[in-house]
Amino acid sequence: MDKIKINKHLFILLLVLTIVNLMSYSAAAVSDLEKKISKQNLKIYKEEYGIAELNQQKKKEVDNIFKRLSTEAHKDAPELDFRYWVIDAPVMNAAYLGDGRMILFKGLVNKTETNQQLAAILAHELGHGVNNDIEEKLDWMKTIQFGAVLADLAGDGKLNKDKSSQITAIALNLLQKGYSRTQEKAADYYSVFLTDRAGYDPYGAVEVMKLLKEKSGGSSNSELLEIFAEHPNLDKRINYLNALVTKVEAADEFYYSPISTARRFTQGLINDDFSIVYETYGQKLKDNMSLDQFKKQERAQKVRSKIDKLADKLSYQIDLRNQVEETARVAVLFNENKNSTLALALDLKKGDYGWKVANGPYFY
Amino acid sequence: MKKKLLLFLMVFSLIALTACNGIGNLRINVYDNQQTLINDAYVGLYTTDFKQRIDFAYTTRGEVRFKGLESGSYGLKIIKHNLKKKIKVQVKSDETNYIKMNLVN
Repeated sequence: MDKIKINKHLFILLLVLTIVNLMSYSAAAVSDLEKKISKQNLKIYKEEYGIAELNQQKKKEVDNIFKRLSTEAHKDAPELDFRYWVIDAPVMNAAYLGDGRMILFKGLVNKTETNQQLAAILAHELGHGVNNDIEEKLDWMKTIQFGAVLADLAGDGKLNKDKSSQITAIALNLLQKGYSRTQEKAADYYSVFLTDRAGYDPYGAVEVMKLLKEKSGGSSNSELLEIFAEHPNLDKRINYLNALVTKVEAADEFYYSPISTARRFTQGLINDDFSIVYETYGQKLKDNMSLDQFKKQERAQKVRSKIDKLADKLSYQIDLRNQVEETARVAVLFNENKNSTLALALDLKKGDYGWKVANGPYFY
Repeated sequence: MKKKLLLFLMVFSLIALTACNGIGNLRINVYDNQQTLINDAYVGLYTTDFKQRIDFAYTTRGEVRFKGLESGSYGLKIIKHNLKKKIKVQVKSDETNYIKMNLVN
């Protein structure tokens, strides 16, 4: 009788400890639990498949796409430090692991045909980060985990006290369950806006879904890879993404703000694509100057050389400084180093087809 | 003969007067109440009745320049946030006409 009483007390004590343990994980933007799980998830994939080796050119390309997108996404989630790893596995997918970490599989890097397709997938995964989806799943799983603890106790009366194996179990469970359809849809939507903001054609989101439909699937003998081999609801996703991209492109064409034109100008500048820069100017300049003449101008060369010297040209800020009678002054600010800023000024004018650069860039 | 001479003189005078209507430049510097040159102030160049805008620019290091303007009178609007000024200026031929403007309440 006494033995049963002691067991009952022990049971209650263990139960309370488990609940306290689960509740102790902070509910901040990135909780300790999310940090641990993301680390654990990364470890699982690194150990199982290893990090892929990309050739220098490809690595530079992927780095550049990731930097362009993550710099923009960081503005929406400043608490996250986005990083990525390429895993040496042939599946055509990527995954957001939490705490800013994401993995791309080598199959995705190899099989995407354009940068805008790869950008769309990366932007989708960044969307899971910005939308705080892992935390949302964890909140839900905490309840499930609590249920599992009870079930465990009812079975053999033993509790798994090893915290790391508990985290591994949650990590694997998260990967297997994946995100909800609502979270996937929200990340798809975010990818369209983010790619557009970063200067990629948002139609890449539709293209990549079509590509996934065509090239993905097939069987895999690995349970971990099987999770990523299939892409459910692709037809539905193609349809709603197509509709969204059409709207975004129409909005881009007719409702450009001075900021979005300045952003496109800057993206062209930092990617050394002067055809994009030239397109942001009004007809007055185009009537007087061809694209070739524009590229060769002294001012364009001077700006180009200053931008080339920047250590981090992707981190920039755009400020609307003044707006009067359908004209605007916008400043584009790059960090030269800790103490100085390279600041460019653009004068813009609103026309029938949105905001166009009228004068500049000038150096402040 | 006298009539012909008069007609010739009239035509000559008209041509001379038209030819005098040359081009000039306008340079505007905008200062705040501390006498510091201010950035990002809107400077609009208008017809004298302010009904039509001819050109615009925003100040960089306090300065704006309009080049190749026909000599004559123009309207100028200078605006930064809640500070506004409207003046009329004269552009003289073959000159860079300089305007110093204090944008204060």
